[in-house]
Amino acid sequence: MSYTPHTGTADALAAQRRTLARRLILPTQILLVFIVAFPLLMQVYISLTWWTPLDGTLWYSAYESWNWFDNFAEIFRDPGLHGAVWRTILFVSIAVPIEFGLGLLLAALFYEGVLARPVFYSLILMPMMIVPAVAGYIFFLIFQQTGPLNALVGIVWDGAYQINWLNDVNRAFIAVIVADVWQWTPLMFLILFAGLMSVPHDQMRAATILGANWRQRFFRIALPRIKAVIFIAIGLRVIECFKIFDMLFVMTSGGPGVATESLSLYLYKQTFQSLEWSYVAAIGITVLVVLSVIAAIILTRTSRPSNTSEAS
Amino acid sequence: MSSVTLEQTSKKFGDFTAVREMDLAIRNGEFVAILGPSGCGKTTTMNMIAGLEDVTSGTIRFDDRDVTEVSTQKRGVGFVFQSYAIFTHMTVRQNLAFGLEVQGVEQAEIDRRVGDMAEFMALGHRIDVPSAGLSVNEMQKLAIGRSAIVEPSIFLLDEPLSNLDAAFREKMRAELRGLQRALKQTMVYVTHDQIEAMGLADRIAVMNHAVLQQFDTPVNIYARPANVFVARFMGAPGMNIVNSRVTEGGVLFGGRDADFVALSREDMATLRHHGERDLLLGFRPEELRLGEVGAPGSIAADVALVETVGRRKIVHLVSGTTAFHGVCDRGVPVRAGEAVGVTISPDKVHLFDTETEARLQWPVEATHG
Ligand SMILES: Nc1ncnc2c1ncn2[C@@H]1O[C@H](COP(=O)(O)OP(=O)(O)O)[C@@H](O)[C@H]1O
Ligand SMILES: [Mg+2]
Repeated sequence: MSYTPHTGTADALAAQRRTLARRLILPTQILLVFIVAFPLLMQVYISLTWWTPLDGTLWYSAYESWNWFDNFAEIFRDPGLHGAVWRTILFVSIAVPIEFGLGLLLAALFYEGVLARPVFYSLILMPMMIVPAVAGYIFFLIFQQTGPLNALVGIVWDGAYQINWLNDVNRAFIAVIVADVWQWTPLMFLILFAGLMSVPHDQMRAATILGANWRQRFFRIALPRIKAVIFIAIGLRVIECFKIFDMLFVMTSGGPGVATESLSLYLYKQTFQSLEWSYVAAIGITVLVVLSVIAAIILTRTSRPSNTSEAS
Repeated sequence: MSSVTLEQTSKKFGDFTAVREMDLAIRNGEFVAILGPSGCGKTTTMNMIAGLEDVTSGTIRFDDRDVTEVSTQKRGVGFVFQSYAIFTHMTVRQNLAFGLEVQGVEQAEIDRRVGDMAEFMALGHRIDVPSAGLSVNEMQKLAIGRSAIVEPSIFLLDEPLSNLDAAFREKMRAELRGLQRALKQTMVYVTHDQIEAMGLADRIAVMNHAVLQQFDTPVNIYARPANVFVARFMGAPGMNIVNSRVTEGGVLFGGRDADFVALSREDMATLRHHGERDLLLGFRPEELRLGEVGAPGSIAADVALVETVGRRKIVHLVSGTTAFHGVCDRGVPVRAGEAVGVTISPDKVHLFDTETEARLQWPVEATHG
């Protein structure tokens, strides 16, 4: 069956069918592009203007206050933003390594059968299931001056009730890190443990027979084989942790002062307190670009053949 | 290089017995095959020798040293897995060096021995290649070389050829035999392939259902199977086993009361003090002769089916209600539907007890040799 008899070859026929197929899926494609692309394009558009709700202009008339790259230039000048970015980076580079270390330790203990009981799995994974805002609330209570933590320390040391956690610049930072570690170590554990389980059993046994002890097996066979998984786990947590918001919002609202103000919290305050909408759009785009570049670097690293853990 | 002795060694997984009271004495430098159907406990036996599984009861000795409680790392065995378990994230060199490195051998010594082993295994030109890219042939060599380099006292190989195709397997079998001679190692080789076991081993340990059935040379296992299982398992097709009855005049073949099978003088002497009784008569398909119906001393049978397999014919025979088969040369003119006379030479007859299925002739003293 052919619509146009003069193009009789099978190739031409196939090409026609492809064209038809493309036309049929076109509406869906347009819808998808719109859903994905519109918010981004709108953000780019707004970021090039001085649009703010105070003017009362409609969003598509924002070009009236067109200012080219002033918002992006402001990004380099804004000490509040720099402080927030710096704190977020500090937060990520303390919290994620701790989560990775603890997650790996737990994964190793489970892998070697030290802790392998189903009840422990569910216990360990529980924090991950909790809504971050609720986790923040839990730790908000725990770190109260009259809360359970001070009560516990109070058993051995009377001075404990003097410690004010969330109202002290350094202690508040420690407290939010503790909360994040509590909530997200389970995810690290889960990913790393799944990775370890995929290491061929025979290879571990072959290493044992060759005389390798527990540590040598773990560091020379298991870890190198799950390199890709480690990259993915850390990459995932770095990106997620960089966006931390709800837990902080509940625990400290960025305080005391700006001591625990993360990038997301800063953006929130710019949006709803300073009403700097086009500036926030510019920051949002910049962050998106930077995180994408980091993700791309991680992905190319992990997909390089020398780093993949191929099964035997 | 050392001998390996298992004494009354058992392994249970819960209530399930994977190996039952195994006695096995493997000599220094010997190449022993453990042969048996899938799930009979071969791998478990190897794992116990290697220390990968604790024994439930019994003793394991290397030479005079009791290693039952010694950890895997300290037993000094080499183990080649069916999967070869090559460390595919390392190069050939790193694979070879691994055992020496974890044992703290100094670097100069490692370099020398790795170089020597790579040459010996004909992997010299591939030494810095990532091992994931090796061919199956090279992987097997690497697996053996990696184990051999730490100079294990014994070498265990668990079905190393079973995931190769038939033609390649024959080539590797020959290479393996050559390697064993060159390395002068005590080797224990697990297989479920009787041809492999026959071709490779100095002695074969036949297992079934967690129990060692017979441990002897390939020739003896073929010529003097210790019981019906071994008789049927070895040879392709396996031995014919026919319900028979001993009477005054000799052994009555099958369900008929017409045909007698001639026995050797020794066998008659063995059977004499049993009186009249039932027994299982065994004879190998390739050791019967087809002739004229009614030839003296022959059993009358009908040819049900003839299969031609390569240069041989497998002849399916029926005598009364007893079915058995014979193997003859392709040139022998035999066709389905014919009546033939089957002769079995008296010295090729095997007799087994109906109840225990154990061999009745020549008490098999070599089983626990
Ligand atoms: N870790 C284990 N737990 C329970 N049963 C096992 C275990 N390992 C082996 N078995 C059982 O023991 C029997 C013998 O296994 P194995 O020694 O691997 O047989 P094979 O002769 O095929 O190598 C099998 O039925 C197997 O299911
Ligand atoms: Mg097995």
